Amino acid sequence: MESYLSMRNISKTFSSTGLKANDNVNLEVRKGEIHALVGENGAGKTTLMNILYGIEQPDTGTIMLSGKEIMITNPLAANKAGIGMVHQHFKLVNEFTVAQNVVLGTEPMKGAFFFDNRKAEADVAAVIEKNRFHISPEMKISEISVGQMQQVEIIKMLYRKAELLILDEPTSVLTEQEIQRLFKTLRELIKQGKTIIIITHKLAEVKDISDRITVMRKGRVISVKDTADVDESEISRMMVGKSVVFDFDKGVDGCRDAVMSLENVTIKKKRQGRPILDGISFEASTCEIIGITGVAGNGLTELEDVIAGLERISSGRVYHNDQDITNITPKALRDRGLAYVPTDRLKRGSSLETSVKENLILTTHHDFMNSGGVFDEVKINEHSKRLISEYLIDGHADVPIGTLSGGNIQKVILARELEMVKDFVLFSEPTWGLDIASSEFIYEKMLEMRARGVAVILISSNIDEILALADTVIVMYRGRIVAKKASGPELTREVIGEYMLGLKDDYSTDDDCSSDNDHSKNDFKGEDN
Amino acid sequence: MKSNKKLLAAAVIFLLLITPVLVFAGGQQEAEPEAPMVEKEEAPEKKAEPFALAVVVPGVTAGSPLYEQLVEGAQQAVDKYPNASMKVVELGFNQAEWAEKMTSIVATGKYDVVISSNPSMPFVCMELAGQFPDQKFIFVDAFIEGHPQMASFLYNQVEQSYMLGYLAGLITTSDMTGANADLKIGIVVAQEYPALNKMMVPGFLQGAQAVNADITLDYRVVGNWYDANKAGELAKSMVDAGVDVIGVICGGAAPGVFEVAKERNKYVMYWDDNSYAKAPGVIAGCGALHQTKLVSEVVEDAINGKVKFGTGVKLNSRDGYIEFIGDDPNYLDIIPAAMQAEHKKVVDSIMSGSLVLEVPEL
Amino acid sequence: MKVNRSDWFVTASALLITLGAAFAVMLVMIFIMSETPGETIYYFFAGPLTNKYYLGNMFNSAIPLILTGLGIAFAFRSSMFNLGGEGQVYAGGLAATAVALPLPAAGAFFGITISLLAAVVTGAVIAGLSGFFKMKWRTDELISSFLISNALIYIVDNFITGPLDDPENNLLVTSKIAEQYWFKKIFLPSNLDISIFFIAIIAVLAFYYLFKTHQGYEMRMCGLNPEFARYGGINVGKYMILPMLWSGAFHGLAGAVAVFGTSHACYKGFSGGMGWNGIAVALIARNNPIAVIPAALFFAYLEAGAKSAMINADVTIEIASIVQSVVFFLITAQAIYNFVKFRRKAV
Repeated sequence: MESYLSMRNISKTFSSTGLKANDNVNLEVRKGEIHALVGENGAGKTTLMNILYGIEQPDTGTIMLSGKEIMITNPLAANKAGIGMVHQHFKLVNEFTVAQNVVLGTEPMKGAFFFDNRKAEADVAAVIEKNRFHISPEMKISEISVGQMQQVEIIKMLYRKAELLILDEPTSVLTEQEIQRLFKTLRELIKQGKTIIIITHKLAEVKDISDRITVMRKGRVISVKDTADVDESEISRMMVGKSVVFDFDKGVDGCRDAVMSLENVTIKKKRQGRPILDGISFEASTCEIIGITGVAGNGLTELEDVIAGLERISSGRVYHNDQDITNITPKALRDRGLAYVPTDRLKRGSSLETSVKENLILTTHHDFMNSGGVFDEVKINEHSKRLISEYLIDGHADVPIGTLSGGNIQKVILARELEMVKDFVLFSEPTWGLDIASSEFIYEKMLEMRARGVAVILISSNIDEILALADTVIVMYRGRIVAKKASGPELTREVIGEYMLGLKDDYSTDDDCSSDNDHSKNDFKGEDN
Repeated sequence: MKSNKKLLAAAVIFLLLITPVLVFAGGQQEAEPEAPMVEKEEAPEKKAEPFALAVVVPGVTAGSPLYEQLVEGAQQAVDKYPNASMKVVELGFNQAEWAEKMTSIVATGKYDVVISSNPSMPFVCMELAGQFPDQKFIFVDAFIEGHPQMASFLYNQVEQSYMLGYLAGLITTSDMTGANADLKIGIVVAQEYPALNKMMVPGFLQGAQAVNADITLDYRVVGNWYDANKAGELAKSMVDAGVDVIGVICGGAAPGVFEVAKERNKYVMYWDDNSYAKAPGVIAGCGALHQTKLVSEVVEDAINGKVKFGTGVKLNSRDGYIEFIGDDPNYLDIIPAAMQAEHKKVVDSIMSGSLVLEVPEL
Repeated sequence: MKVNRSDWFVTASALLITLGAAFAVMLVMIFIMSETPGETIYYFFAGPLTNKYYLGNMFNSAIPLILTGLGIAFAFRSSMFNLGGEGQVYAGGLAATAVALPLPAAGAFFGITISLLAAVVTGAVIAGLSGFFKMKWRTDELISSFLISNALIYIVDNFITGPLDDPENNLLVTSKIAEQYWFKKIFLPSNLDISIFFIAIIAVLAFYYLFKTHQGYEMRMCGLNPEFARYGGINVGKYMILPMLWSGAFHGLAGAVAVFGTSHACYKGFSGGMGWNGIAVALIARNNPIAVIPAALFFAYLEAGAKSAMINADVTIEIASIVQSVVFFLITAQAIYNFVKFRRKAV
């Protein structure tokens, strides 16, 4: 069968990190199908779609649409070619109505200057009618739900006469009913002759909605299959691939005292159907690395923020050494000795225009004052000199940290945070985008912490890392803990993969009416020990 | 930290850059004598010697009748003498800058005489006169006596105010359509100042009370010379309180009062300039100062070296510089003939000197 | 994103180009509006430097600008926007005057100290309010400081023309403060007074505070990257208030210095432009306290040039201020552009 879209030999390397996001990728999509593009975080799916939508330019490769080669230099050009994309994070103006958002950028005009609101509403109403959406064009974005916002994004693309729709993680923020409604819409669109590419991690959904699947891993296409021919665990195996084996000693037994514990932590946001974090309970103990994993969009980011004190929780409690620290300020948490290596190194972990030296003293700058509150420059200089050599940082103390490479920025952060460790430390995606040598350096430091008796919390979507380091593994799916297991030979990549992708759930509440009842079931530790 | 050092360096570079200019300036200033006055106008009757006049407008000329007359009068005089020249400088509305700007003018050393018109100017110039002991000043509409560098000419505002007050008294006690039974008149002023407090307000009330001793005065301050809205609000509340004639001394804020008076069929008294046309049917009485004439004469004297510095001259209506405008069609229209005659008697008695109204100590 | 040696060069050359463009526009305008353009240009550029009086006054008018520039720079450094400078300067000047007036003329040192203190506290409280509102209710300090300041201007006006007005003179002004309180003039006949030395020292201290102290560090971190600061355990809320307190304090002091050094009484509207120009000064100085000094001098130079052209040549006060504002506009446009770029990067 003739391909409707074909992307051939697409390669893309990001100069900032040196990461090869797409390596000679080929993608064939047929007219009128729903094509699922699956893969782990960082597999290169989003990059590929960004290239298709004109947000990124490929280093090499060609794109053909309906047999003709096209150049897509920006999203507008993509729109013109009939390609529309719905991003994971919606790009809507809260104070505008649905209609105004839909026509934004291609507004119907009255004369040369005036926006024709009536025509906008009529046009948008026609699109809504034709595709059987349930939404009023006069409503303001601030009045509608997250599921409806997504509909608005899709309507926006249809209004621009998109024939090929790209949906990036469309279900990550939706409730079950909203997902079903979305799928109904998608099937409706196929009937009208549209073509859809859907990016997702959720295998059940892949099975449910798609006709064909392209699996990507580490920037390459691993396999292309008809959905009917594969089952979910097969897809899962293709996605996660073979383990990269790190072999580290496991923690010492017998020194497990809870340092930080979370009890039934829940975050509910306005207008969002389901909680972002739903009844999370676990303990981080001395001499232990607790590894928390999951696919992006399943609550890892929020959990990171909760542990760091940067996000308030709606209900539940947090304890540190048996003292209630629920919703205390980040400063209070830091005063209690929390060391924290964040996922976002550039925005949160460092101040790019500030010197390495000043970045290094963020959490400890109180120790460098003399009595008058004036800095002791000599001490600060010695401090940065020592850390630069101890942590093998390739960079001068006085240059802005933004001029360093990603690995060195991470080492600066690591140096700063580990300098102040007392009894607990949080690492979030500590090796993301780093080379093997830098990663191993970080692993060593992590193990060193554990050996010192520090409670280490490791949040990572990298399963290999979790398997290699964690003494206890927690898997999150859709804001809930779906597995909590002690590491051991029977805990393999495949097992974790099935939990991560929602194929298995130890704490399923499907047969339960109330989701709050699972607290007792959730509240255990080390069952497999 | 690095970039701060760079900024510091930049600061140094900037200073280095402007240093030559500063040095140049220093050199210039050495060359100039400390006391900038070179030529002195002491020698009288030597017409060939050039005469430079600075006409200083404390504010902005356009829109202010007295300042327009100041410039016009000076121009008339200067035009008569080929050796005389003048420059008009406006000081703007920020009074805090007046003294400094005035000093800048004097410091140029270019001007034989500085002339200005505003009761505040002697006060503004007092300090700088000490710094430039050779500079001569002439002030009209102001009073200062005994300062060897200053000559001043003060209008007897008691007389003008008395004339207007007397008319106001006649109106409020009359049965004219806009008048009511209350014996209340009002005055809206921009700000308080000695000439106002000691001449204009008392003169106005005195005139009114000469008609009926029970008449009271409702006195309101706008706080600036431009806020017509506020002046209007004040006028409204005065009318509500029973006022039927309002005196207006508030410059650019006056239209606010005009509007209220027009709406409520009340009367306005106006000072210093024939302004009936500004609010026909509303302005029932108007005085005028003949500043063009005064300035023209004074400047001519100055060119001829005849001005006596150190004196303060008080000008009465019989000197011809103050007038009540009693022949304007608007006035003739609004005021009944009998009342016109009664008012004219009082005006005439002031003009002839039979009714003497002294200028108080300011 | 990369900051290196050439970055500074780019900034400097950009500033020079803008200055060049500004001056070019100014020349064109003068040629259009003046009948004797040669003379006008001479007085515009050389006027402020050609005699002792103008030169001294130029330095004198830089004094409050240095202070307001410092005030704005402190706020900017913490990513806070203080648009209420006008009102803070004005209220500071009034507070100092109101405190100084009833005090006995003797013991001037004590009197000056508490009057200045009153100005500093007044300014700090006014600006601090906006910071507090931001911390408490996330109100935009840019809007709130502007609105509060505008309301204050009317209140201060009311004090000057009402209860504190001196009916003995013909101006809208309070009574003069006792002569013992006047700052000593150091460059007669100009108004330049001794406070310029103290102000220069304050600028250096401000630099020191910002870059060498623990509070300055926390303040800058909050400004450069608030998320980073919060993550690192800095009380970000505190640094919404503190920089505004400093900013207001500098503005209040500017008002007091203008009164005690130059006008010796609180004139209605005396602060006109000091607050706004402070913003431009800080932007040109790229929020560096020491660079604020030459930036303020540059502004004072422009102002003095306009005045000199007005007095000596044939331009009227309006034309002089139009030319001046065009130059200000061009310069601040460039500086604001830089600032916005900087803020975007930071956030």
